[in-house]
Amino acid sequence: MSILKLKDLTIKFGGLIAVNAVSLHVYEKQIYSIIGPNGSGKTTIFNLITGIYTPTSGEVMIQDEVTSGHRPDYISKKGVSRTFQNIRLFKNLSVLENVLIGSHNHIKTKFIDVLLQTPRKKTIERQSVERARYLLSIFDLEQFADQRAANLPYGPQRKLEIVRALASAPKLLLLDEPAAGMNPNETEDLMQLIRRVRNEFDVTVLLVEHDMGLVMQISEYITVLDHGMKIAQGTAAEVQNNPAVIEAYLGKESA
Amino acid sequence: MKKEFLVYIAILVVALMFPVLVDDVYIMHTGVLAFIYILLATGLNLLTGYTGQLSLAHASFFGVGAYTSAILTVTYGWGFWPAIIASAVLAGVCGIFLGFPALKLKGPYLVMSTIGFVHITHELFLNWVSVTRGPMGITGIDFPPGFNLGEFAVDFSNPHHYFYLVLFWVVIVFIFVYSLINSKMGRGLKAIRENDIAAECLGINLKSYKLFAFSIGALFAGIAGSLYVHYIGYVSPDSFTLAESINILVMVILGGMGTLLGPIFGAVGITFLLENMRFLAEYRLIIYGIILMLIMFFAPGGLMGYVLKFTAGRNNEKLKMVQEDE
Repeated sequence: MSILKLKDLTIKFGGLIAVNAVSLHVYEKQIYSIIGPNGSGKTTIFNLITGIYTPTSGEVMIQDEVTSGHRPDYISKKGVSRTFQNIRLFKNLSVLENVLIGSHNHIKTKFIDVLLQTPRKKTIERQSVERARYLLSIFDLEQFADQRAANLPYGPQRKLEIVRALASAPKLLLLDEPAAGMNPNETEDLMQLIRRVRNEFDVTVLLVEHDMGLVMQISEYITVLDHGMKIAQGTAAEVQNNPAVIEAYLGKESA
Repeated sequence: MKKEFLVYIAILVVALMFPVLVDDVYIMHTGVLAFIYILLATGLNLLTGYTGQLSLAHASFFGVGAYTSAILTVTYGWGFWPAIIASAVLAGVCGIFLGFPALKLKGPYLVMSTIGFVHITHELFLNWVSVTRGPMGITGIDFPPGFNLGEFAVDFSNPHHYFYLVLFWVVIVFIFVYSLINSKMGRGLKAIRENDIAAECLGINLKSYKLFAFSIGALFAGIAGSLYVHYIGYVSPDSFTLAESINILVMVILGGMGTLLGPIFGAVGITFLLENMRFLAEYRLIIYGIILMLIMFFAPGGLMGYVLKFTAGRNNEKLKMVQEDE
């Protein structure tokens, strides 16, 4: 079953066409990657899917509902969660609070529960904290739970963004360059984690990544963009041998 | 958790004992004003400290509350209690009006729009003479009615007694803010302060959360305005200027933005500091300015930020010990 469909998705910024008539299909529980050279429109597509941008034309469909034109908080409630290329953690809050805010959509306490400190509130709060700690432990971040997010080293900050996104129990998880700035060991580690998360939480993963090693090993399907247009799609092997892709990355052979 | 409550209860006990231990009417008078400022600073802290929306319009809502109470009681003969509720509600509604531009504006641009707002309300108080009596102000506002507590006659024209009325509202507002901040909603507000785009992508509705913060902050100021006029007995436009907004903001920043106790220390500290420096005559504001600069230099997070820096270090030690035990 398809979880995400882009139909002729286009966005223009002034005269620049950042994304040009891109269509793609992501199926449930797939690990799907979007790759392409710098400035090819990958992150823009993420911003279109999550509602930060509204497309000039075309549609985003999440589980067969058209979501383009809705605000990000609405789309989040439809089960889409993401990380950011330039890390956007809640820096002055604790690691645990970051994850708890991630589960915002699922914490059902009302203000009155808090005012009266009802048992309901205490139960829900305890369950949320337990779940948050479990998610942190998967990513080996549990020891940081009470630290300020800003005090974490770079790698753990990237991982924390993934944990926070997972806390919202998404159906579709968008990872924007999760391996950026990581060394090969950390990247290998991350790859295992992404696979584990997909299997354990039944989540679909849409990945934007520059690390070709990671992309080629992990992706079940790949779309290649260049200058906002889709130039190729297929499995890792298909994409790697596609002349258009080689040209986009390495340039045309001099004629 | 428990230790936190002990601190709050200790502070409450000190506040409760304050009128018992202090005979001097002038000090008591300063205490009443200081506690009215706690309400103002706490409201602004919710908006600026927790939600990250810097506002210089807080005096507007103080004024809306003050005028609402004055007009309802003097012109329309309402009682104190209905008037204070009406003041709170009307100020809260005005807060939503200020909130709308904040949905589009950030940083310095938001500050500009709040400065515009405080000038507008000041001009309204000054020039809408048929309702506000303009620059003459409204006089003859009564103290809230007293009552008998067993043998004891409570008389609100006595600052020692009025203090408890203000304290009553401070406690209500504090419990409200405490509950809010420790709830899902409070975490949402802090998330907006830290990173609004990430907050929105996690399902937090920026529009309703921001409007809520503006409205509740203003509502507390409305309560403060009502308590102020029923204590002072008159109201005039000069009390609700940009300078007053800045004064409240200084209390919040100096006390410690985004902390529960910060605005309390800030409001009490600055009110008493300014009153006790009157002997310095023309040097008073210069010395005050120097003190502010020194505090900000040595404790950029405000007084509470300074305190937390030390306690946080200790708590982390404890945390490690607990983890090792497990």
